[in-house]
Amino acid sequence: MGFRVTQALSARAAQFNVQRSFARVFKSQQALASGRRIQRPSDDPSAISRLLFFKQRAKELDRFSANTSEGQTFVESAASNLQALSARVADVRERVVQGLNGTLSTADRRTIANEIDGILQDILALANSRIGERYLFGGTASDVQPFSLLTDPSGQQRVVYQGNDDTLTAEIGPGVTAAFNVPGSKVFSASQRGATTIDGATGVQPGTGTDSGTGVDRLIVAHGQTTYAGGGLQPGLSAANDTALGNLSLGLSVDASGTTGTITLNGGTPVAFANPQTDLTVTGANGETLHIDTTAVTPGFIGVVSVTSDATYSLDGGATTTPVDFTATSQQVVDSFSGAVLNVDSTGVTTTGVEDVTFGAFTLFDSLIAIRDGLKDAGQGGRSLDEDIERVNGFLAQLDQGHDQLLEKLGTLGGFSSRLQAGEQRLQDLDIRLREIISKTEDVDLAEATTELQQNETAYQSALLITSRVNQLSLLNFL
Amino acid sequence: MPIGFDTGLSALIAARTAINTIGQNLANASTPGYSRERVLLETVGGTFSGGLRLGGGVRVNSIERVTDELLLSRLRIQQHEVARRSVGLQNLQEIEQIFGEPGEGGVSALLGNLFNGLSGLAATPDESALRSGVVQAGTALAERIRRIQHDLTSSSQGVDGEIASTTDRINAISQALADINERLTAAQGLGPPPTELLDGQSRLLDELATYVDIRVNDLGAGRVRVNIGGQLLVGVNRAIPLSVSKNSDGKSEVILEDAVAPLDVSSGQLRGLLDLEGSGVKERQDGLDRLAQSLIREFNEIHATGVPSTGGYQSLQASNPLVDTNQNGDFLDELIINAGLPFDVQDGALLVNVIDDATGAITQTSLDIDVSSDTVGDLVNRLSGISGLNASVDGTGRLSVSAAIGKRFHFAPTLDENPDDSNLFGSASGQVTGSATGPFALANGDAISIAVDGGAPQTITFNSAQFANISQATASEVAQAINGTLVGGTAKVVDGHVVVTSNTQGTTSSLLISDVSGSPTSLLGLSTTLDTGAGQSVAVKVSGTYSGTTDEEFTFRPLSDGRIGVTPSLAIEVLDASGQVITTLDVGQGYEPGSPIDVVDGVSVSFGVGAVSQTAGDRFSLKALADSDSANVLSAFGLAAFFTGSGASDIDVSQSLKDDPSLLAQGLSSAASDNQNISRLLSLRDGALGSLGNRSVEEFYNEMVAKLGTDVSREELTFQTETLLFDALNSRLEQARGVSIDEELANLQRFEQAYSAAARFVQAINDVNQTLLSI
Repeated sequence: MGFRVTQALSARAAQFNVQRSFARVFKSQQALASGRRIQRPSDDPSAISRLLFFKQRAKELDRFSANTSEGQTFVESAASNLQALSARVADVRERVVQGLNGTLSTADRRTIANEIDGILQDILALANSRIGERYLFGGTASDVQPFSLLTDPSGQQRVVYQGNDDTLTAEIGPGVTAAFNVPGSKVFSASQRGATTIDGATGVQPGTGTDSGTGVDRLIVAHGQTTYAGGGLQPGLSAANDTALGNLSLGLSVDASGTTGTITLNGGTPVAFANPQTDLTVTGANGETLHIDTTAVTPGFIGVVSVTSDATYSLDGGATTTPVDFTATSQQVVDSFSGAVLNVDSTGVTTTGVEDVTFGAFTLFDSLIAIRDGLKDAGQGGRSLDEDIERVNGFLAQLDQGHDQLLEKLGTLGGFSSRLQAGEQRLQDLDIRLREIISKTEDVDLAEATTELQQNETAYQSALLITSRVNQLSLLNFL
Repeated sequence: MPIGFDTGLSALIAARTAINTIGQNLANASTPGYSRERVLLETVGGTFSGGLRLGGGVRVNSIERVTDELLLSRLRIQQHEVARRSVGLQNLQEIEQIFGEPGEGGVSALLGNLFNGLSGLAATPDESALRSGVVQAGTALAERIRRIQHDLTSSSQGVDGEIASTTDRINAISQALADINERLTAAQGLGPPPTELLDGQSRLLDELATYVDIRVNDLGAGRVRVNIGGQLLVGVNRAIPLSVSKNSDGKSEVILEDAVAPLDVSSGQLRGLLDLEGSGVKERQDGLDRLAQSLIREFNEIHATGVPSTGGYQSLQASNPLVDTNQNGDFLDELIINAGLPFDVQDGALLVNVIDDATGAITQTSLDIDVSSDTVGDLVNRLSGISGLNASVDGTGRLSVSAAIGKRFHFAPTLDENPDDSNLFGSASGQVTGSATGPFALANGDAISIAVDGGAPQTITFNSAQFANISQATASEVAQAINGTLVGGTAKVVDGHVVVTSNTQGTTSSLLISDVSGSPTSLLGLSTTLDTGAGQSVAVKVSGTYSGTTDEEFTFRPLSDGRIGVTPSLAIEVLDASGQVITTLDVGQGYEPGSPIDVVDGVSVSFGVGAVSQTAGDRFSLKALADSDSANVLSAFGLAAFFTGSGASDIDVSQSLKDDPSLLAQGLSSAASDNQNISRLLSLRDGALGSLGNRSVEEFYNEMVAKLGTDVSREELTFQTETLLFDALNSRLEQARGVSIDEELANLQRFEQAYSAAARFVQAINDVNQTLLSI
């Protein structure tokens, strides 16, 4: 049988061709209208996994970018705060230099001390500033006010840090995490530790061993009990007020009846007594005193009586005490309030008293407080005005160190900022490249797609045309 | 009758029959499955007249149905293939739609949103809006996964329905074919089989072929026998009904009535439908389930061991209910591994931190889990045994843990801030530490004497009864034996060494040990020199977060005797669990007492003032955990969970987190901006997970989508090829059996002319006869 073409066959062929052409036109149209080449995974199974991957990376980049600017905002606020802080510290310096002018009156110095106190409050407020609900200098304890000005039991003001040392971090790139804060403990950390100085009026000297306190503190050397070994001497009524400390030797000379005699303390002026004497005050060469009850003296005693006068140290205004070991070259005294440790040499302790301790390390706040108090009390305490001015000068040197530290941290923040900026730049570059790849994978090439659409349209039109022509053909028309 | 008249008549009849056939063909030119008919003519044998043989005219031999049986059977086979591919393709395309990739609402994008939300929260962990954002992103992801799983399930239920309706249709067709067979039997002997019956039969066979692969045998007289997979479906006079049932794997099976084995359907739409149950939908459901399970488990293991921004939990309820496996009405007697929990518990430990709100002090307790013997009740009792905690299981089988008023708890791998809580380091008490670790080869009756605080020596005798095996005595057995007798002092075990201390502190506190019988002191390594207490013990404080990847136990011990911050070159060495020295800490002159020193991996330690002694054996140990729930108790029970549920059909974000996003465990400490736990969660973004074949969550999902795309596009291609092949075969059959109007019209002209000619012939014969009659 020859090749027979039936009407049904030609109709089917026409239908098939028209349908196929139209499907192509439709696909081209859809691609062009949405601009997407891949609408479903099956449009390009080899590219879909890549496409999903790159799309997620692109979204991640957006997030990293947002994180970076979040970090950047934080760094900038922190930096501008530190700049303002630095300016205030410079103000302090200027004021102090004025205040150290020896010709100023006490009242003038007090005024300057008050000004410095104002600046201290400003600096404290700046160190406690927030961005949103977040403290800038509290580490990760961002909901706790990092710095508080407190007065410790010894009457010394201190700024206490309540934040932590942890860093805030943000993801700023694929697998890249950047820190963007400097904890307050690092901004206002103590300067390089030098030697601790103690005025030494009581005979206490800095001991060997490393101290951990900062700024200035007060060491109380208090009297405990006095014990007399021989001669029939007993503690007097006001023995609690004895100021002579340590292992003492008393020169005692009593007459045969035991009613009169003399007592000599530490090579001081001999003191004569005539019984009954229940509260005889004996003063040593350096002004230290003992209160002695002589009523039970051994008649005819001439010799040396060993006396032990106990003492205690306290660095926290008496809240906790440490017994003085008069033979120790290094005793550790702890301030229960701040945890500060002071090593003292007790071998030279002779009298009670309150020592101004200047630790070898200062935080910026310690310096400010010490300067303020130093100016306020200059020439008013046990030291001469010149000595006090010299002391404040020392604090000023510490302030400068604190200031340098602050500027250094400002530099650190600057480093963070430029790292974030570089990261941002890299993210933008990555973003452009990634979007290019996504576009290449997913998007329709307009020129190509338009040409394709035109081709498909032409094919469709020809299919229609031919179909209509063929369908007209029939023998019927010619019979 | 005159000669020639019959001849003319036969020609007229033949032409008319031919024209009728053409009419039938033209009428059915577009009837599907119609085979054109052709009139077969033959000459009629003539008569002899006068020695001449005259023709008798023409006769219709038969009307032939023009078709090609070989092509027809090939076409049917092709039809099975097309039908099967069409079902497969439609279903895969539906699955593709259900996944909706690539799109903003797809799992891929939502997974990205969750991780991006976490990344944003890590940058500002104190931003409550971002915290809610993370919870919402998690919820959206879970909803999407559930939705897909639900749609896939409905799609598979749709497949079940289609299988049922297809078998119904097959039964209807086979019954109709049996009926036609019967009518053909009845028409036997009445000439050729009626074409309308044959055409109807052909149409039904075509349709049946789209559903199943059939084999058709001719039984004569137009009747057919139809077999499927070697089994009879339609016989001479009956059809055997098919039915559908589910086998033990939950898959559908088709079985012929009275047959022993299910039908082996190898192609056709029915095969396509049965295949879908096996692969298409199931593969995706299983994949999504695996993804959801990994997400739930991995997220929860990390989330549960973090600290919420509230600093700790006041109460927690497990999201996974227990199952009373032995059905005795009590959940507590079930082994944890048999209690129907969706995730496995393994041998390991769970660290529980209880925080005192007032002081901020953390008490740590480590609960060991032994899966071979621990029941739910054991766990509940151990949790309740922790001071300040109470645990119970409610009637629905959910474990609850709650803290006493003024306490909170969490399960983070926090470091013990105060590892030397019995103040043994730089002891303020008289103390003797053994230099050896067990087991000790003691003998029954060995005895030591201990003098506490200068008091009378107390004799302690070691009896076999006190030990599991006295020649292999452990440190804790020795300590227990000492504590049974000793007054005023206590024996402890530190890092495997026996440590005996006086219960008093200060310079009057002292301890002196000596042998009474045997030489236990040398076995235990206990010094026999008098040890006197110091003024104060050294305050040890640990800070930081351990960043190591394996669990560690560090031991700290001084290398010489001296005072912290005073004695030149006083150092403390740190050993790891294997006894290797990790680092040496300089705490001599130059060290500011109380200032933290970095040890290793984020751990810092500080030492207060006081004296430490190497000769007295001062030491303390510190546990640093990388995983505070190595037993995976929390993820199994769903305590402090981020995701609840056990798979793709029920994954969700924990209701308590939805209610209160501040319970999101974002840190490893209570600091408001601590983001360490978020960072751990973020590691899941790129981290290869064993449960996903060492792929990340994202990789696993992307591969799933790519596979789906490949399957769809391959199926599309196959479908197109099969359809083209079908069309080609169909065209060829159409060429053979189709009606060509042109051809029919030409034939019509021909037979019209033949008819006219025959009529003229009859006229001519008539004229001849008239002429003859008129003579």
